[in-house]
Amino acid sequence: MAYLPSFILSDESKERITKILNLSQTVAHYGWLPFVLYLGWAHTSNRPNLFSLLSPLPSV
Amino acid sequence: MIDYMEHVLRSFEQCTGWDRDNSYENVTATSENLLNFRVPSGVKFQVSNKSTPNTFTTFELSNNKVINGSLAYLYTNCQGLENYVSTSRDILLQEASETYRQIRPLYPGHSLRNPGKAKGFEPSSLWYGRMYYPTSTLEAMLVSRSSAQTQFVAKCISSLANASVLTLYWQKDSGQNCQEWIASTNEGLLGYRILHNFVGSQSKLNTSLYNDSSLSVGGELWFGVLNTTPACSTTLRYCTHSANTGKPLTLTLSWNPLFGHVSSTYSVKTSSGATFSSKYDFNLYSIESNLSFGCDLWRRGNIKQSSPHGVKPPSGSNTNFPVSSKEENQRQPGSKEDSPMFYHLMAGSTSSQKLIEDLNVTFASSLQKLTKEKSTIQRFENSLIDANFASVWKFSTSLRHKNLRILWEGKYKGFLISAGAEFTGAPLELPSNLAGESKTPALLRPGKLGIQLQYST
Repeated sequence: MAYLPSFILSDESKERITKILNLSQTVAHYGWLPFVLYLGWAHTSNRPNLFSLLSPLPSV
Repeated sequence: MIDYMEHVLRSFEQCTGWDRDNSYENVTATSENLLNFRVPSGVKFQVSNKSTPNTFTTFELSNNKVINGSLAYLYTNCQGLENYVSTSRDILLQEASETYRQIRPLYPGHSLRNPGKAKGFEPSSLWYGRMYYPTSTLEAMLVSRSSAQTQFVAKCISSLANASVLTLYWQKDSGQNCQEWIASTNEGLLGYRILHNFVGSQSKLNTSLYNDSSLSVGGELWFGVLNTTPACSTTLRYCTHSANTGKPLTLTLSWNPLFGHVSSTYSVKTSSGATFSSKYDFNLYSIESNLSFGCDLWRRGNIKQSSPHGVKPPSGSNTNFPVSSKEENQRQPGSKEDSPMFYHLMAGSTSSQKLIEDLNVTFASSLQKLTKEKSTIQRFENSLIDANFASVWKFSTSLRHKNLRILWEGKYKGFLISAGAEFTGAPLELPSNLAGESKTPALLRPGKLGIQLQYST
């Protein structure tokens, strides 16, 4: 097994890699918007509250 | 009408000194804006907000048979962006609407078209995400400006149900050349695009001393790794002003060697309130041709209101006519910007500045013609910048497709409204024999109808 080239993978490994890729895509898919919001919150000096950051409606 | 997030992105490019017109992607932007403008479909309402100076939010609802919605967030660490982003109440209509693109020529010695920005360049980036409901499709984008000449863009459409697409762009704009390397996960697509600007040089045919014309040649090469399909095209663009009236005009000629498709366009701004464009397509293999016409007609509103920020967005690529009359007045006399633009007479010369000064003294009388031509062009440009347009009508038609597109865009009580319709002749999806059987005359019938409302603070 150790002499086999590295690109030959067993079925279990392929399955595991597919699972990991799917999971990472799901995390990126749902995590992207919170991540953009976090960047905006963390880099604003007065740290606005979450509601004013989330709301698309004009603040009073 | 440009979406709010698109407006923020263009403001980011303007703020960081990136010229979006100096790209092969936008080489035919003028004729595309005038002929293939987007007609809204259904009812769409968009409300946008600048929650902090660096974060922007948009909520959109649209009703096109089904009610759809989307929520978008954008963050950027670009300093001074708030001076460029306007609310829907303050934005000039000529900046909110896609129209004629004014191309600034490249002069030797000006390595970048926006030299003021290059000195104080700061790396900055932009993060954007939009989630569509109820399909839960994510649209993500990252734009990074690492140096004054380079830009990295990553765009992604992620869907848990369907295939996702990630596209990466690496762009390098040295002023004279703009090169792009593109890679996409869709069919393993690899692409290379280049746009080269010729520096104006002395010519016997050029009788005008004041050279404000620009000649660009570009090309693109694509290769799909998974389906081993190549593609390519090449385009020539020439922009100039009429010397007598100062009215700008643009000509382009595109050629796709693989498909044998030749396309030529001619666009001219005949007055400050009217633009006309025509396009002729011809296929060398199938001998099929098409002629398209488009125009936009602008209506002026009341006297221009002063900007609430007190800062007028500086000149840049986003504004269609970037040289402001106020800025002209504020410039110091004798500065580099004010020196007459006849660099094309001395292409390649390094010590041109002293020569220019000598020329100014020796040939003062002949240079009067130059000043006159320059002032004519600038007077025309300034009349466009200072104009406060209230609404615009856009029309386009194509002889082969037998269609008519009408779009009205305007401002009303702080709202940006865009309403349009598309009328088509015989339905395109019907086979020709069936279309012939129905003996109805080929009247134009509405194929698409829509209104879009935008409000942003």
